[in-house]
Amino acid sequence: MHIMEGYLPAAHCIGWGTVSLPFVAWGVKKLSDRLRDDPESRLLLGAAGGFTFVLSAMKLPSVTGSCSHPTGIGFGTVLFGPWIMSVVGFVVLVFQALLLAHGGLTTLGANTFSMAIAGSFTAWAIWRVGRAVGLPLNVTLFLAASVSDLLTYCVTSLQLALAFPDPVGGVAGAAVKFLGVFAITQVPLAISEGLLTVLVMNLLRSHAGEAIAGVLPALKEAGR
Amino acid sequence: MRVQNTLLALGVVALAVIPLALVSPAQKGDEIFSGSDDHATQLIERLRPGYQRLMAPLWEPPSNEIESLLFGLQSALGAGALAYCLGYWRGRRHGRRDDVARD
Repeated sequence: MHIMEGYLPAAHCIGWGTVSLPFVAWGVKKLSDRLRDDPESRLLLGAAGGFTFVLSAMKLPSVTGSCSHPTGIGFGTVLFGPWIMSVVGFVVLVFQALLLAHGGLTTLGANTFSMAIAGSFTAWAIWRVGRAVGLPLNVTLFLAASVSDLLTYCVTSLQLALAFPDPVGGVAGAAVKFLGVFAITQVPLAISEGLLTVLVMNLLRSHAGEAIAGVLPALKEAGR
Repeated sequence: MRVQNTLLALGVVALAVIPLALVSPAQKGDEIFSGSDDHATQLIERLRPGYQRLMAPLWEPPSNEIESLLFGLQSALGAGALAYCLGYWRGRRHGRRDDVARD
């Protein structure tokens, strides 16, 4: 769940917007370069964007008795890198802010930072390190997707804690409270996102070996 | 691979179902399985009583039904795009294989 419309002071809205803007702008440039040099990747981008759309629309129940949704950012980050996925995440957030009253325009900068930027760069870092140290591919994929999902909501909690410090415990005290709301709820959802990412990537590797050549090894098609 | 994919799918289903069984309505009352963003809003109101939000959403779905329609639409669009791509690649590869078999 993203920070709700209007629930950040103006200075924070502007601050997070200023931080996020260059990432999204550079991502748009990377995206247009990629589509120009490799028009075939349009379809793969559709698949990555589709995955993000589905996952961020799925409100799932959690053990805390409240609901939240995954982000679907890790999947596309593995395929396209963090800059391009920052743009995809931004587009999803705009869609949800305008049509669903979910998240908001004033909080768009903060939400873009947590989901589209922190989420995708975390997934990217875990993916690269995991591959470099030779972790099994699916384990790396699972970790990249699920940790990115969880971290998104840790960042959300910290953003709210900075805006609303606890009168007694300060920023740290408020962070603990917001983490209790967002991060604990997110743990089973992050695991679900990791599992779904591995599942869909298995399908992609079985059926679309050539489309992802150079990023992930193809799988032999099952049952043929 | 088919076994692994089935297990992955079952895992996702289990993770969604287990909370439904674990959390009893008596424990949570009316708020059961409400959004974590609503809980955060309540927390903000406890930390800053009387907090006036900067801005209300420009447009809100007029009812829960309309909201779920739009969320459903979002996931349908996403799943449609993903399935179109997978089907396209799968069909293209199979088409090619059939050509080879015919030669």
